[in-house]
Amino acid sequence: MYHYTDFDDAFLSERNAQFRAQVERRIDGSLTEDEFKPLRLMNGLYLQLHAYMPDKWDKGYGHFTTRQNIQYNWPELRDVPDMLDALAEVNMHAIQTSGNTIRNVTADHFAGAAADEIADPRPVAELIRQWSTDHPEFQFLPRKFKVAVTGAEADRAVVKAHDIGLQIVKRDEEVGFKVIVGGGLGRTPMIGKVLYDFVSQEDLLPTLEAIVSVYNLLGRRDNKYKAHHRA
Amino acid sequence: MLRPFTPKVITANALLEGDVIYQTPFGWTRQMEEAEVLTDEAHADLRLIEAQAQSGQIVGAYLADVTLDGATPMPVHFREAFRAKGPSNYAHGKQEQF
Repeated sequence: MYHYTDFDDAFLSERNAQFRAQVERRIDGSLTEDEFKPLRLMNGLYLQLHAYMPDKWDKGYGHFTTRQNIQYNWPELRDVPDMLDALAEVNMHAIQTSGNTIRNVTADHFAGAAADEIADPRPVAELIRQWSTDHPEFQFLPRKFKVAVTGAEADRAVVKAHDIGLQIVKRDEEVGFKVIVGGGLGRTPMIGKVLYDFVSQEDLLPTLEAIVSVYNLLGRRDNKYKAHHRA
Repeated sequence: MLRPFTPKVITANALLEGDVIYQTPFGWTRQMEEAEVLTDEAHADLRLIEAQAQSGQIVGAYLADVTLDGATPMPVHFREAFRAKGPSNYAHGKQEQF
């Protein structure tokens, strides 16, 4: 499991302090709701938090989502900065859990233990998580954006139903990625299409950057229902 | 001929607690039955402007259609029925009372 570095701790602490000040400014009226909304969304308010939290700040229960996040629906606005500080103490945050951002990266639930996988997808998921977190270019995409990685041929991570799906593959003896784009569920379900049969490991992040940049530039922003990558 | 005006209430969410709230002649309530019913379009628009000006207390005020059971407003759209009853979970929130 990834442990926060000093840089991560300092970044999160600064970010939480900024959000605490933003909440205070919303409550005292110096920020309007329109100004505050993008700030609260990028900090995950629509919070997806930690197991002991509901007893202290919610009503004793949470809601597990399909993506196995947990959401708390009842926290009071004033309590949220304390909740984010408590999360940071256990190396967690709620950044990019909502808003039109690159969301947390998912993998196969048998990752690391599956007999049919070429490689463990979790380090790749963590790499992409680090690349995408607070990526300055991708904070206001046309719509939310999801990436999944599998290490196996059997698609247990449902990579074909993500904006970008990555399948770890081998070409000769080199390990790389099959890149699938444009999948998704929801209102307009669509199976992703293969963009590249093989991308080398060193080309992975530039490839992702290129795909998301094109989407950021050309994706629709006038109609929420046609704004997805697949549309 | 003028289209008849569907009666409305003004609803929003409380800024601090997030609860669903309804405007009354004197402030805000968490019970839809106690909401002020607006039957005149111009008056409804005016009351909405007044509500939206209270951004230090509320978020996202809008007019919601209602039908009347006697004098009591009842939701028309299922979204408003959900909002009036709280989450679809009998053990918590407003539904504990049902």
